[in-house]
Amino acid sequence: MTVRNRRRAPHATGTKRRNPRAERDINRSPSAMTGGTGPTGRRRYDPRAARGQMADSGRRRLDRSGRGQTVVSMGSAATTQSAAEPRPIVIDQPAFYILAVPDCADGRPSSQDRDILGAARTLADAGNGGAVVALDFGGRAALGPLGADRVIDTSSVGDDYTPETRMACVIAAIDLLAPAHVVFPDAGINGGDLARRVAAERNQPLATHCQRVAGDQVISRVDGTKSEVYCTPPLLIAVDAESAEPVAGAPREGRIIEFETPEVDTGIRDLGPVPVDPASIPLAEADFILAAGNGVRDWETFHELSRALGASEGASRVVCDAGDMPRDRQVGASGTIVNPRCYVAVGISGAPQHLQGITDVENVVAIDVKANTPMQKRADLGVVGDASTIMKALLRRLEAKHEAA
Amino acid sequence: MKPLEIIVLVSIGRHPVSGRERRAVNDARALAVARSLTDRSHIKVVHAGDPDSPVLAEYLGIGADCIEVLPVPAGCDVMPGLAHEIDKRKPDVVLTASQAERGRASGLLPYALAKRAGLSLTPGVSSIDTTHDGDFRIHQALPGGQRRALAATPPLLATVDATATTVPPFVYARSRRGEIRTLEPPAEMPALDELDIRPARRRPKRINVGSGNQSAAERLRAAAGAQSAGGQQIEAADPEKAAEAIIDFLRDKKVLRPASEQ
Repeated sequence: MTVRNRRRAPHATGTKRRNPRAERDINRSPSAMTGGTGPTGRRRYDPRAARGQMADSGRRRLDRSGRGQTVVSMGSAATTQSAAEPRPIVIDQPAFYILAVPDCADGRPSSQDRDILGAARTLADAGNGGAVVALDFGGRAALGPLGADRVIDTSSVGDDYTPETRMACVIAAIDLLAPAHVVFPDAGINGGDLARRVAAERNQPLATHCQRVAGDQVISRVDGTKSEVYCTPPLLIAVDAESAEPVAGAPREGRIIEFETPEVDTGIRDLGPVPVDPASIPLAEADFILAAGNGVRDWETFHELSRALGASEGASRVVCDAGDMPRDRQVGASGTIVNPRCYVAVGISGAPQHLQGITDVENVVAIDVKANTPMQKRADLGVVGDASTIMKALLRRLEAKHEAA
Repeated sequence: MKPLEIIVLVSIGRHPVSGRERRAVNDARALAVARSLTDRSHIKVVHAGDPDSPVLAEYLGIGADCIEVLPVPAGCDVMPGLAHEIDKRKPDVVLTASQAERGRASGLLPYALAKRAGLSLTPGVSSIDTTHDGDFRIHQALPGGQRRALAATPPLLATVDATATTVPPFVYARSRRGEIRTLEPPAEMPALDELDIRPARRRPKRINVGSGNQSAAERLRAAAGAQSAGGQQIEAADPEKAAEAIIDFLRDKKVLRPASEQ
């Protein structure tokens, strides 16, 4: 009897084979790999040791993060590992380098910056023993915990818009380290612009709008959003937002590399920000939102305050239903999902649908008479008090500062 | 003062829903920006591709007098031909969209052109003005609806995106009146390398769930956006103190400028 339609072994088709054991071991706590050595020489996992680990709450919990808070070992008192500072992974002699160029637009890494450091980490781990080098234009960011083995401090470039100087920095770093790949965030006028400048200057291929980055393949989106190109990773890779996972697990060393920032004549001069009328900014784009809920009665003060703060106005559903604010200002699941740098909620208790609209907001201030609302719990700064009097006090302060200046 | 000479590079776009060929929206905006800068007779609109495309007449209808077409067959690189055209005419400004709506749409062409023709490049331009000494004052669109002012000297290549001027309405008579002129085919037309192109697959949206040793209840709250930020809470008996705390918080997060700068 012959067996028909037998599946061909993966290696016969030319695809790279996965090593499921190695993939599984990455996620296992190092302290649980105490089962001795197996016949193939691989370190074995001891499930009992893993079960012995307990969280601070005293409940038995599997800790796969490798950060093991409290370790209970047999027959001895609980020993506390340094939970706050896990020991960083050090690569002394890297086989090759992967250069990552996060934007760090406000001096802090954005979520896309974290993702591209994760993508660089993937590329470094796919070849054996690669190190991730991050170019730090912000100069203040701690990039080691985000997956950078080395950091090049280029903070002398400054916060001004100097794309030519930044390009020269990237090119100098490429000349210095000869990295296998350079990873950029494909983000508009910052990372996306920088990646294309470097590609044109060096006449190197660039994979734009990458959706997936792996050691042997990148998927790059072309033709608007209609098609994808599968190719081996070129030197330059620009990764779209939310297309890679940030680094999880133990931090990296983040050792500083000596670097001299090149001097460049630039054709473009930055004259600084231009004041924009916040009311004209679409809510989804706004950087700073003052939102009103059912607790706001004094609308005149609310509008005055938003003008004085220079904030765009938002509102909860109740307020829009009542006709106190236009519908295009509604924040939440049935309105707009917003992502400002700061969200000040006045008189909003925080229905789940409203909170869904502000999931990604970093800084939330809540002003409300009630202390135990979901919005107060969500807030980074919660103020309990009468909204109207607090808004008036804020206005007085802002006007006093204005007159003093 | 001598009027500005401008070249606008236009391409064939695609409607996002119907998939039909149409004028590329941002190329049309680039043409509108050019018209805000100089007289129509000093604007050259250049397209590299098929001279017989019916879409080109749409650009005539929104304010181009004449479109010059470099006949480049599909699958060939348009960059050397366009660079040669820019070298020949020496414009003060080249305007185009930041990336095409179809084809490779990598957004690399403006950068390759700027490098080859020695122009300084400014991306994401929302408006351009000239100053009395012949420089440009540019407003660049930033994320979050903000704008930044830049000063640049000619010759300049600026790319335009969705934040730029609105496109003037389409005038049918003008689209019939205008001229489409075919130029000599460029000397250099290198073939582009073949790519392994497949239809795009939808990728799942990333859900913001925490990992590690959180409890299931915490993960659920994180997914619903209701997790506790662990922030501080003040009982404001005195509204003045509350106001001060809020203003300090906003200054700390750099949302408000510090008092010294105001």
